[in-house]
Amino acid sequence: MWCLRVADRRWQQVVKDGRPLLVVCLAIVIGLMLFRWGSVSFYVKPPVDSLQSATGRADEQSCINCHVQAERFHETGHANALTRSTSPQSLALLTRFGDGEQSLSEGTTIDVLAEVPRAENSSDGTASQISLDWCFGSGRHARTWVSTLGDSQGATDVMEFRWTWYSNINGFDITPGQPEKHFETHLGPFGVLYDHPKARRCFACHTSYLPLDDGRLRLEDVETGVNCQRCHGPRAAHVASDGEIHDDFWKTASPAEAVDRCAQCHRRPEEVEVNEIRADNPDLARFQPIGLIQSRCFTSSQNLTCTTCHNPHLPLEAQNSLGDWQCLQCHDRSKPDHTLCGSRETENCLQCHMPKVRTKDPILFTDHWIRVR
Amino acid sequence: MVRQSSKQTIHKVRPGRATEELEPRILRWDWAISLLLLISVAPDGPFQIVRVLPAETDAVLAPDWAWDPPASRISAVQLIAEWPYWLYAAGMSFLIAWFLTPRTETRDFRIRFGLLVAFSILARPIDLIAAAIVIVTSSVLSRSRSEVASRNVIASFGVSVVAAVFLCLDFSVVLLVLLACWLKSGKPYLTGQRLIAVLAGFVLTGGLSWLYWPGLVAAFARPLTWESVSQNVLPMTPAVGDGLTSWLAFGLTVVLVAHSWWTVWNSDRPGHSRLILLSVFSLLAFTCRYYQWVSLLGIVCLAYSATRKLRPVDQERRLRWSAVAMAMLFLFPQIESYQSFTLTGHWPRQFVNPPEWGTSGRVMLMNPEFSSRWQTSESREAFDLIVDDRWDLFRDQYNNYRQVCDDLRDVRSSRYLRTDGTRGGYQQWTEQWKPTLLVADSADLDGIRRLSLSPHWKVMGIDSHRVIFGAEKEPQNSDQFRTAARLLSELEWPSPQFDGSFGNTLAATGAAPRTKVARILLAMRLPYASLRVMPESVGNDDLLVAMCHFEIAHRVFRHTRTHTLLDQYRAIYHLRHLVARGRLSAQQLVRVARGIEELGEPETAVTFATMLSAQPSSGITQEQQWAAELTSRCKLQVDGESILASDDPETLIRLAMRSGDQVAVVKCLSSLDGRSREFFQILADSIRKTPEDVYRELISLLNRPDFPTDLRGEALFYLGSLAIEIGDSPGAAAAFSASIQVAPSQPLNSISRISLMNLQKPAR
Repeated sequence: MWCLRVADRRWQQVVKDGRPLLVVCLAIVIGLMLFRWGSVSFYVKPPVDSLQSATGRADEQSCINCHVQAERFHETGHANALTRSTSPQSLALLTRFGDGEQSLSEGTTIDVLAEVPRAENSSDGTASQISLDWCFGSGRHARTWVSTLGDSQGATDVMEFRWTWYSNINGFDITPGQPEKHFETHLGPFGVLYDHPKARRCFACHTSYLPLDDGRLRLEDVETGVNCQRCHGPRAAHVASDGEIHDDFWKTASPAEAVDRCAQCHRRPEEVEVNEIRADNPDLARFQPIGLIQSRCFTSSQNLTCTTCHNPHLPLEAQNSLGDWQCLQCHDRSKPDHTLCGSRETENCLQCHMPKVRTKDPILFTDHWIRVR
Repeated sequence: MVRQSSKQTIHKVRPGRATEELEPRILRWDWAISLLLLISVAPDGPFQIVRVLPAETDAVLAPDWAWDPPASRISAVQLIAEWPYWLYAAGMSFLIAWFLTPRTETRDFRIRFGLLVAFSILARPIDLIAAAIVIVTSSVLSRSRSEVASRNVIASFGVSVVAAVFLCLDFSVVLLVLLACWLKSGKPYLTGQRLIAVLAGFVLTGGLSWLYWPGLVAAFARPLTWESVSQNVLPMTPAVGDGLTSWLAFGLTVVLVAHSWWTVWNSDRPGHSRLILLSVFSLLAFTCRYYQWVSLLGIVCLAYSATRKLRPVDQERRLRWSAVAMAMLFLFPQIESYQSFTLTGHWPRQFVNPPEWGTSGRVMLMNPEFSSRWQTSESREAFDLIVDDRWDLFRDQYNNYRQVCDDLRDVRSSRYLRTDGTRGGYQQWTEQWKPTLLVADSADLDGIRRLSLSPHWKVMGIDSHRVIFGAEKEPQNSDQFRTAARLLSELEWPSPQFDGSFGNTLAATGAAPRTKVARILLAMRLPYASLRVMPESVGNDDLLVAMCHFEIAHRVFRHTRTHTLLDQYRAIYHLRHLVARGRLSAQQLVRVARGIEELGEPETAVTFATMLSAQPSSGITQEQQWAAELTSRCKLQVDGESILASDDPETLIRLAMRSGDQVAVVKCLSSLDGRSREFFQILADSIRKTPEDVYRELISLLNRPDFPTDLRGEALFYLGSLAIEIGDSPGAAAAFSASIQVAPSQPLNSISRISLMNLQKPAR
């Protein structure tokens, strides 16, 4: 009781001399300080690459339940842009490695019976080997294998295999971008080593979900190939709402925006040297969007995009992208206001205006720089 | 005679002249103490040039409406804006002493000392003008004995207000401190109609300024708007800086603010306005490092009255000795610089000086906090910052800027889609902003590691605070690129001609800066360079040394798929011990475990991952989850591998060394025979011997004719590696050449050739 009385007396004194305000001020200071120090927005979490985010992703299988377009999607090149090296398509090609001229493989052989296919070389008297973990490419043009390695902190690097399978020659040749003569190092006969940023770029275009942990690509959780949600965005809300919620990007996007979305992987003009963008550069044919947006057909058109001719939901053979019907929409002889072909041809437009071009590698690409040649 | 206490001796002074005679002497001591402390915390020695007046913002992205203090636009004023640090320190210490001495004479020794230390180590050159304005005004107010403010007092107060707006960027905080001084002086001038008139005038001026001078309003609101700037854009929280100084400063701030509140609590009727101001200053002091010093000034103004009393002599002595001890604490890391200055007469560099590189253009700071470094006239002549730390101007742009910096750090030049629907990729922005230099924070080792791989940026200079990269396409950068590449190559693979001088490419004097630079070099995958730059005081069991050996082991494995027993054993053995002593953070531990996994040692990786799983924590952390994943991944590998049981002692000792298992190594050694045992004994001893000793022992072993031929190639390779480590480049070249000759088909030759190519680079 005595204590309480003393405390009460002290409190009365405090109230009398205006100290409660001091207490309130102090409480506010401490409160605001704690709020600032413990605030969630203290460190703002920036948005990440959509490819790394699992948020809002739906099961890809749910697309096929409602969308007829998804039925044959698994046959497309996009869907098969990346497979594990142990996939049947990959193994079938690797089995044929070295079938042709033996000197071509520079002493490298492939053990396809190993748990993971393994490239081996002992041409300089030293036995060396690497595993071939992933197979890049759908096989329409080519397939290239890579071996994944980690640096001292576990970040993922890749070794791009020196030999690529090309459909055009139905055989192996040096991988695009690699030197004619391999590096004189222990692993030189197997290809070129690329560091983590490049490894990430490689996988980014061949996957639809690429989780990353502190520099390490979680390849065990990767969604291989380009799937529905890579182009249409995360679709969990769409699935959950039975299609009520939908992203109308592809309906509302301008031609430039739509082409830019495809160019994310098929290359944009700013990603090549300015002097490389010229009509006489056959290697530009590899980067279709760059060629397309140089074309007068694109610059003069209100609505020409990649999907004008291509239906990405179907395999290329089923797309009818090689016909003339697309061209005739603007160049129809029966329409007096249309601009017509100077050579008076009425069919096989692509043969002259979008021919297949051989790059310095044994690959044929359709040149998307639509022009008079 | 002044009354003497039983324990304290008091200065003997004649009555009536006591304060006049005593005060200047005490002031001198406080001045000297503050000067000593200010000099001891000088980041680049007492001869560096610092800016005491704000510069006109020349940031590329600064809006047209940007406000700059009028003085920053007057060239005549700018001529005297830069001072040598010692001159600034002299001025600032005088002001601190002038301000604190009368306010702390009656205080406890610890508070006096704490205030002197806090004010001295927290002061920034740019605070000098604010300090001068506040302290002079406060002195004028306290000297005026009248209760009613005289015209002279009001006039001098008015001049101070104008001076604050004219000279200070953060004039609003200075005005608040001036207001605190006024309130503390107890002159009831601003009451009734006058107060209403002043407030009305203030509102009217503010409104008009908002319409015609939005920059002025934005600058005025800086103490309010800093809060909305994200910490990961511009770190503003006190005590997140590096080292002892900032933590000590923060600790002192806590103590002093608490004491101020206690003082106010015990004072009679503190008054509403005083309490509100005290709250504002306390908040600013705790949460924004930009205002820490000036807020303390305001707090002291409000809490402590200026009095003139005598101080006991023994307290004076304690104060002096404590200050000397504190200064020594700060000076100790700089001892090397002072030694060098004494011997050569030149202050060694702590920062590289980009204007000397002969390049110019725009600078992109990945941490805008570094802006002040680019504000000297020499830097401003050559470079323009893209953004600086003026959050009143860039608040809306900082987030985008940060994301561009993140993309630069991740080497993501091409556009990509982000989760918020925006486009990432730095190229679109760098083409627009055209930076010539990119400045990374030395603490951002991950960013530096990735940036060092960028095809668009190359290293130009390194110091303990920053790594400066240059745009690869910029022709004027090419000379410095070559110089930097040459120096880094010399540090990694030294040539006999290398004289050890870093020039203006690498600046690090003293143990702490050298350690920071060593970390940077390791992050750039230059382990031998890192070991070379590391201060001699760093022990063999240091984490940094272990990580260097780990990086070397990785380099060898990466290029040869073969383990270097020497480096891998040293690295993993020490890492095991460091983990056991709790020296690795969870992130470091996961990285090490992953690194070991990549070295093809899944079992050892599991051992490390298990150590993390065993650490106590509330819930499962992300690192623990990664460790668990690594464990299951590695266990699958271990289970999948066909284990060949081997009785071969050499195979067993190799396996033991690869996993850094000293017990197993010792056990296996006894079962080895003859020369091979001596060889492995030398490798086993490498964990506790200096590289020089191991090198000598290996030479003597190799000189014996009976040394096994099958081990000679490998032994010569290790000899070469050790020779690089200790800087014996001819020895290294000879050893690698001999290694290739003796064992022409060993996988290690691949790395020997790379080393030889670098060691035998032509003399320049």
